[in-house]
Amino acid sequence: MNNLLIESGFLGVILTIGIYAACLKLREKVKNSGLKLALNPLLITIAVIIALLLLFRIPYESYEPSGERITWLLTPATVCFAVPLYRQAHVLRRHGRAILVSIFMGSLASVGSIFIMAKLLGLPLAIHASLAPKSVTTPIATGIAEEMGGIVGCTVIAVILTGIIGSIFTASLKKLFHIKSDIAWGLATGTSSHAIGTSAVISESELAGAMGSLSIALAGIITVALVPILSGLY
Amino acid sequence: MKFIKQFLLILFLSFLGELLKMVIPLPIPATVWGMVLMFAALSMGLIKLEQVEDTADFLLEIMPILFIPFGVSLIANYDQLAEHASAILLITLISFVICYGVTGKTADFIIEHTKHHKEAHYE
Repeated sequence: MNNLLIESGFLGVILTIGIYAACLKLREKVKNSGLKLALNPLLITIAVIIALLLLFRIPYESYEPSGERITWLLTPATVCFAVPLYRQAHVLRRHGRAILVSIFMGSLASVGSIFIMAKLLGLPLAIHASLAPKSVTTPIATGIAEEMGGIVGCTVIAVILTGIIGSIFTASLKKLFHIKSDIAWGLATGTSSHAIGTSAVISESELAGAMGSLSIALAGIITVALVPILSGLY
Repeated sequence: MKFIKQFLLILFLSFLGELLKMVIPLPIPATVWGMVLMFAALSMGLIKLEQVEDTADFLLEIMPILFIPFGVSLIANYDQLAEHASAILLITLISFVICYGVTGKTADFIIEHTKHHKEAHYE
């Protein structure tokens, strides 16, 4: 099994896409809304692949080449976020102030709350620097963590974890916080859980997806400015 | 031919994003530069929506799959994180909820507020 995974360029890729597709199919069949929520395809696929690797005692390094064959499309895909954004450009012009202010406040809340909790829990500076940028997209977050002396691997995990949490809970939090407009929904999702959260709302509402895309870029840039200020105080 | 041209254009913008990242000394990643460039090109009419739309929609649909390998890489970094695992989990979850709530409520508040303001203005 291990040799086959290393030798074959496609086994890992098929496994990844296949499990994901099976999850989507299963979710279509399920009626219960709580169960539907638990069947998050991203989370389940990650869990199943990790379980398979552990079960067959396959080291992560054997899956890595397959993983790279999948992730190389991430840059062009992220660039394509500009398309829904452009389709919704009229919203951007009309609600510019709401968009800018809420993304700024949200980024400040994220960086600020991480600062306070890290202080309270007495975490070392390296861990704080790794977590501080975790609500923004992976490439920006790792850039910030590196500059601030964080552990990049830890940042990647916190970012992905945040994204997955976002993609699972964005619909229920929308109800919990009584968020009324799709604009606010998209902004909240993109600012708190970047591209992974946004990729979960884009199929539900193009407007929310466009606002999420905008938040990924803006929250990233704002966080680049905020983290060094707070890390200096830590 | 349609998909070849569209895909090539998207890859070219990704490459331009990489170039900007090399030239401009800010910690802004190539993907964000690429996104900004694509948006600017569409807004200025340098690229028509039809020239990228179909391939862009395909890439956006498959995007969640592209993150799976990052998630699987958790097992490779497990030891490094085990010590602070509970603190990291707690901070990640709480700060996410705070950020989500603050952003969403602020946006809703300003949108409602401007709407009322405009309506009052019309009366």
